[in-house]
Amino acid sequence: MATQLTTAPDPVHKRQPTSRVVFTEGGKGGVGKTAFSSLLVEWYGKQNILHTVLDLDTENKARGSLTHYFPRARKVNIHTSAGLDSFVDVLDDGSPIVIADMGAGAGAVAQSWFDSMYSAVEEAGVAFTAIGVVTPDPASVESVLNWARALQHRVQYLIVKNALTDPADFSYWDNDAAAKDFRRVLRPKEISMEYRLPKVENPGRQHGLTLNEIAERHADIPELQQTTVVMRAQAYRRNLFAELDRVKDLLLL
Amino acid sequence: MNETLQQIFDSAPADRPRSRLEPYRELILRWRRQGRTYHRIRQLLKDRCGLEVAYVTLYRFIQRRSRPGKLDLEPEQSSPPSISRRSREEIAALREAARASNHKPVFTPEEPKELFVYDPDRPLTNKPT
Repeated sequence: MATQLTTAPDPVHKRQPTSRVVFTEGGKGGVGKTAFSSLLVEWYGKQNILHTVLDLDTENKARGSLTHYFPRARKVNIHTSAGLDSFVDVLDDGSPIVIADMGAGAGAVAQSWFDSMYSAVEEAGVAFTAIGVVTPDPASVESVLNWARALQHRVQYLIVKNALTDPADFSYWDNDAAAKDFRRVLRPKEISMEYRLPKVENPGRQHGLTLNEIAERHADIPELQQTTVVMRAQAYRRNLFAELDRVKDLLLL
Repeated sequence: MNETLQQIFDSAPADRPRSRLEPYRELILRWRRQGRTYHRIRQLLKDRCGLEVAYVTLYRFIQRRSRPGKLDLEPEQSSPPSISRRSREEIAALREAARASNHKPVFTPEEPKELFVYDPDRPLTNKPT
């Protein structure tokens, strides 16, 4: 694929950042953005790192958005003129880390915000990590590539390969020329999110229970108290936390 | 340096810190490293230290002192300068060391970066190329 050179007006990391905004790229719906975000929130909790949680998903009002799992998450409507300024506003509350979960179709708004605000925000010491979730569905890959085309070097990229099926076929992500180009030019880090059995995933989603709550037997739901369900939840949590530990430089300051 | 010059050098009064925030530098930078915001640090300085500064003053102070490679010529302690100020000899020695080590940051222009180009109208392929 053809490439071009630029004078790179917005290089990432001119100096050590003092805050970091970690956000899911709100493109394709149903790829597991919120499932991943909820685990990420718990990973930060395990590390004892102060963080603020933003729920930018205005599509899902109740079930399916981050406030369903974390009532403390702040719901923000990004479809307003200053919606994404909340990235910066919440940093004033004292948390060095902001975790923001975007809903499907948030691309145009977010990309426009980056175009107008990035320079000033980066100058104030804020770094960004964009989380792209890819699945076997090629539309999820297209979404990640579209975001990368808009954001370029202004953010660091974490790609989560979410196995929605078992086995999962990521051949579009692995083989497409544009995806390869993305990996070469913008150097994302990749982690895997293993396939999760419906007997763990679906009741958790229905009752707004995180994997951690299921793994710690805090769920007051009989079907989530079965030993195998709890053991599965513990394994999923352990494996994903190990993956996050591997890329912690993209998640911490 | 001959004796006369040395005497002149030693008898010169030490400069006052250029910023009122200087005595509180370590405290401020530690707060910032903990993730406290500029607004919060400004409030803490007012409440705990009786020091009122403009937001922009605090912002610039932290930005300048956070630059990598800046040689630490000032006291490490967070206590007031009358207690923690280093002797003139120590400061002079540090300045000499700074000159000798040529520690001044050198401006290096950013390398041009390659843009990622993607045509969304082109269908993806899953076949190895």
